[in-house]
Amino acid sequence: MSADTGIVGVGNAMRGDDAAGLVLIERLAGRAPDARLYRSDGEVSGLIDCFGRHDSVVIVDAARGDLPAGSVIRIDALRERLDTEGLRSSTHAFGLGEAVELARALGALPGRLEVFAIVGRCFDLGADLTPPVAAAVDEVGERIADEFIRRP
Amino acid sequence: MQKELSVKTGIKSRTIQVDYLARVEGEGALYIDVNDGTVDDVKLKIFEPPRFFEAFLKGRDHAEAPDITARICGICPVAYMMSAVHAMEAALDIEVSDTVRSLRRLLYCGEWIESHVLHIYMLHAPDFFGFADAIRMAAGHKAAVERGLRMKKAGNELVRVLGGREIHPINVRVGGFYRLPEKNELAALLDEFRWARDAAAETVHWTAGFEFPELSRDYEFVALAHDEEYPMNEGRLASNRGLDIAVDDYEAHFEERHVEYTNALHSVRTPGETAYCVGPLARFNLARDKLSAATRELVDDTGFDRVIVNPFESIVVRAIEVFYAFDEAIRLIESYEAAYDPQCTPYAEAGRRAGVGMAATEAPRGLLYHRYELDAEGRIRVAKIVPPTSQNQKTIEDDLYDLVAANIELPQDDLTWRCEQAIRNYDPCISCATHFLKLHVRDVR
Repeated sequence: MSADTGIVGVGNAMRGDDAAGLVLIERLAGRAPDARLYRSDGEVSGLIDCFGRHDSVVIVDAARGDLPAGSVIRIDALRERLDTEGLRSSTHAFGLGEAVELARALGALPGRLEVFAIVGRCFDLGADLTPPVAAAVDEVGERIADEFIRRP
Repeated sequence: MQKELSVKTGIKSRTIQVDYLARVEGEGALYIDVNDGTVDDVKLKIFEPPRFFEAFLKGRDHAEAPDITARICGICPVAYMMSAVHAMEAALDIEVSDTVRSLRRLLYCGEWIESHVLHIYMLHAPDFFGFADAIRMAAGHKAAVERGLRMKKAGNELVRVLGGREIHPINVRVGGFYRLPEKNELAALLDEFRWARDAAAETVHWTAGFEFPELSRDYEFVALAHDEEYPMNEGRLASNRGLDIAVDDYEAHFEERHVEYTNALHSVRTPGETAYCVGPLARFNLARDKLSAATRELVDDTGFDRVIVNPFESIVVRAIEVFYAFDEAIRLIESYEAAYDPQCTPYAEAGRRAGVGMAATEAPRGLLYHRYELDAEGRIRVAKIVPPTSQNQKTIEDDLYDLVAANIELPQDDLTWRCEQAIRNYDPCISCATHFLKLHVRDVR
């Protein structure tokens, strides 16, 4: 399982809660010897390339939504379509949602694709993670470590 | 995309309203009022919050400017870095080596490829097939979309190798680079780039076959002009109406104005306060004789060796610039590898002193002007940044006036679609255009 797993943190490190996925990847560094970790800003060709490299891909991104900050939404992207608006918290013209749906249209999804979307509250330039999102990053990191990573 | 369309009375009087423009970088809206068959008002509203980068730069060390300004945009960070380093080097009187000069041009090729390919394949081409987005287009045009993705990945790879990472490069500094590529690091890209150059030629032929809505206007095109090169990093400022000035004189000929309904400033030519056009069309129309021989041959083959005044044809010009960028990148990489010198100094040292420096470079979307005033310790006292989208904003509105007036009989949905497509002709980067607004807050308590 783990040897063919890619874990992707998506976000912008300088825009508050949008950094959630990137912070999670920092916290997993050194704890995931059999998985490959990626940092992404949601760039479409890089994500689709990653889908082609692994049987199983896990993506963590911040999202906007009506739920309280720190809420975690887990999506089995092979079964459900992604919301292309909610997962565009920063100003990427072509975000994670579009990248996944484009890969689906091209028949380029991996065998397993799980998306963890962490609802953010503050996406201001230069802001830190808000406390509920920081706590959610810890929680999601543990879930991914338990479920997708063979511990060293 | 959310739309609210309302028709006032009959086809001669109506409002075209698109509350959220899709497939542009950032958040904007469009409002057009037509009364009795006459276009009364066109407003391209940019409501993405202003980002205050110019204020943010005050008091920071001059060496931080390239990395800070790169954060203005995730699509064109190299452009911000390039205008920043050139302006700082002008302020501090630093001369860079020929190697640094060539590698900067190479890095810019990478960004043109990334940005243009994304726009051509993911954002603009769907308009010409009547698809709402690239996802729907992919079902019927799978090979084309896959070609675009692979070309974009090649551009990403060049920016990663030379810039340190694909987005928001970290290897650029005032005076040069922190680190130069080792021998064969760039050469490893060549096979894929030769494939990509062929793919770019296919892209030119593909886009040249699109059906283009009719629109032609008498633009003033403004771009950098260099004696020998297709413009990227250096040159004077020129236009097809006789402008020929040093970049240092930019602010004597162009002025930013606050417009009430938008968060972005409009830039106009002075003294007439007229619109002007920057970007691929301006570069191509003013400097297509500076394209490489292979690019000129391709331009000839496709029948585009002419002044292009239909903005809908800009997608072809972007494709031509992608071909040129791959061709130029191959030339620069081969030259770098042939002359590789492991002792080459990656950067020229910068002293600290007071000074003023201006620079303009050619971002994918057009001219990007920076000016900095430094204090005696090399800290930034004043920063001014004029991005291409604010320079094109008035031109976009003028295009829409003419487009709607000429197509007033079209059904509302078709006309709205055509207007959105016309905005995407300029690949507007709204997040760039809103970083600099001065807010005047009135206390009404």
